[in-house]
Amino acid sequence: MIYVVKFYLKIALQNLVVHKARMTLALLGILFAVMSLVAFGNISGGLKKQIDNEIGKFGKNLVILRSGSVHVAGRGTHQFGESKTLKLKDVEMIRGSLNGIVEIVPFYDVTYPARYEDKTLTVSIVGTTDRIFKIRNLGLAMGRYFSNEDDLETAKKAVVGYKVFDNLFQREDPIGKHILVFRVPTEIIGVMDEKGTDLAGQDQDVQVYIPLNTLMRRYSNVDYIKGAYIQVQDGVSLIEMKMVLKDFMRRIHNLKAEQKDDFSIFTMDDIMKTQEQGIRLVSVLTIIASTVSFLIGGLGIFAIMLLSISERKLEIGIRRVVGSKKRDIVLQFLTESVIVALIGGAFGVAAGFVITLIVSYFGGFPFSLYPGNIFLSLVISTAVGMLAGIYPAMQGTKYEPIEILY
Amino acid sequence: MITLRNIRKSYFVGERELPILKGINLDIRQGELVILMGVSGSGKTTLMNIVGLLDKQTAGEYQFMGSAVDGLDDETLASMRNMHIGFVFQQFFLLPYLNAIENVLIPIVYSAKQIKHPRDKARQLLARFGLAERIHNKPSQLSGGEQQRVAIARALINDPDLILADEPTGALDSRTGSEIMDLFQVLNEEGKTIIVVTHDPKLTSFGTRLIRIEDGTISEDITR
Repeated sequence: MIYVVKFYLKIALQNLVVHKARMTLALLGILFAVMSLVAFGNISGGLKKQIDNEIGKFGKNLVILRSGSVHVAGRGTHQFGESKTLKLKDVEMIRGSLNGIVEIVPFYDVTYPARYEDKTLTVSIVGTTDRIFKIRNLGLAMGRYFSNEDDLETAKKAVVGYKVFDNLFQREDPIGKHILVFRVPTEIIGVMDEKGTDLAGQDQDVQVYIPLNTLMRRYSNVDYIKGAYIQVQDGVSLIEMKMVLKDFMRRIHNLKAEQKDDFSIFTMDDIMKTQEQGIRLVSVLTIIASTVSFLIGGLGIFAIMLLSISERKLEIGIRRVVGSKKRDIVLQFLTESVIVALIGGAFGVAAGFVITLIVSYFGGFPFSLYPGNIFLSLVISTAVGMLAGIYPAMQGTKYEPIEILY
Repeated sequence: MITLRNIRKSYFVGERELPILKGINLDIRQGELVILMGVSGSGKTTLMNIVGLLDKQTAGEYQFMGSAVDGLDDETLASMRNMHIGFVFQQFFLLPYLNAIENVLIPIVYSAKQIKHPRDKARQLLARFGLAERIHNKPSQLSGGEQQRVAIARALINDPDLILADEPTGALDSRTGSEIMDLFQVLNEEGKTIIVVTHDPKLTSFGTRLIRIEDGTISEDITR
């Protein structure tokens, strides 16, 4: 049996070598199909991994409340409406009235240039409380966080993102130095770890965190906040929390039924959902593309096998004379068509790797391999090879040896 | 070994019956070297195809190695050919993309017999026929005589009881042709039963028995 299989493989491979050009054409369809499946599997896997990382970076079980409603301006662009209706007392009421909340951290953020000596950098200045560092998993590269006391004293102290330090200070030790924020000298007491860009596309390393009271009373002179991070308890549904919060907010803002929300609520899930919808769309397109490619590949193999069999009638005749049964002939030609398909598949897997490498390198997400997709594509390739080969192989048994040889 | 009783074979062209074999009675015994001679169209090739289990008679009885083969299905006939009969053809019929030894080994693939070390055996057969240096050559790199010797080695690899050779010298020059016939003679002396089908009158001197076919019947049958 092993000998027979080896023999069929050998003949199949020799035929491949003899007919390189046409075999290459025949297996191109399979190659592209497998390539797209494998590349897509790896890339979407990499993206999912990245999303998981982001969620870790962003903080667990977070619901974000922002003042103003979101309206969609064009494709994928969300703009916040301006609203000054969200107050610190709202935050206190939420804290006091809603169940399932671990922590609620108000913030006021504004984009403004920060300056050190002759260098400036546009930063996102975030006034918030000392709890932000915990719920958003903000690690320190050096120095310390500001404290609740700093907030009460409206201390002019800042914890800055890594890029702020990197761009403004180069090699200098920034701790204890003063940067100008709203032209007010503010002491740097800490530098955060490098975080990269978050899922919403915001650079996390150009933040300057200062105590909320300092920003509201001394720098911006406002009595409203821009939003709050709400961390809910494990096991509490974020969707439910969103609904409860929405009702509660409408109630305390005395909104009538016909009035729109003057706030928006989102969770990481929303951002993830948008991303996953994108991935799903691409996955549908990939499946369509690879189905079509598999069909084309199958037809290619079908045509080549028909041709091959009519060319090799003599061979079939000789085999039949020396004792091959019809099923031996079928088996042999099926082996050949499956091998052609599998070689296409193997090259497809390799091409898929290369594409994954390139895309993940330029797309800046982790490279990952999904053996499941590779296995699946090879199984489909085998099936396509068999389906495409079965009819031609059956044709091969229709010739009687004496018709062929004489 | 072979018993043919009143074998008839006809082809039908539309409604018309075209008789090729018109009642052949023949017994071939173990150890004979039969020269089956006849002109083109005499029916000798048809007879050989029937004897070789490649074709079926229209009427009559055929017993091969003691049992009737009439009505056996294609698959059974295929494995009988594989186990009991070695074929040699005028055109050699080697597979062009396989080398000499691989060609010799083809019948092994389909064999139910457990031939031990088939590769060694194929090598020995080729060496015996003077092809020791040629075992890895493709047919296109071999002369006609060499190709025919590879074909004979292929016919022998499965230890057949009968060798059927259809015009084995037809595509060879006369010197190479008589070398091939000498080879058959030697194999026969070693006990193989061989039937050589030919139209070449030069071969009448070979063999232990001469059978002439004319117009679908046996016209002469001489055992020497």
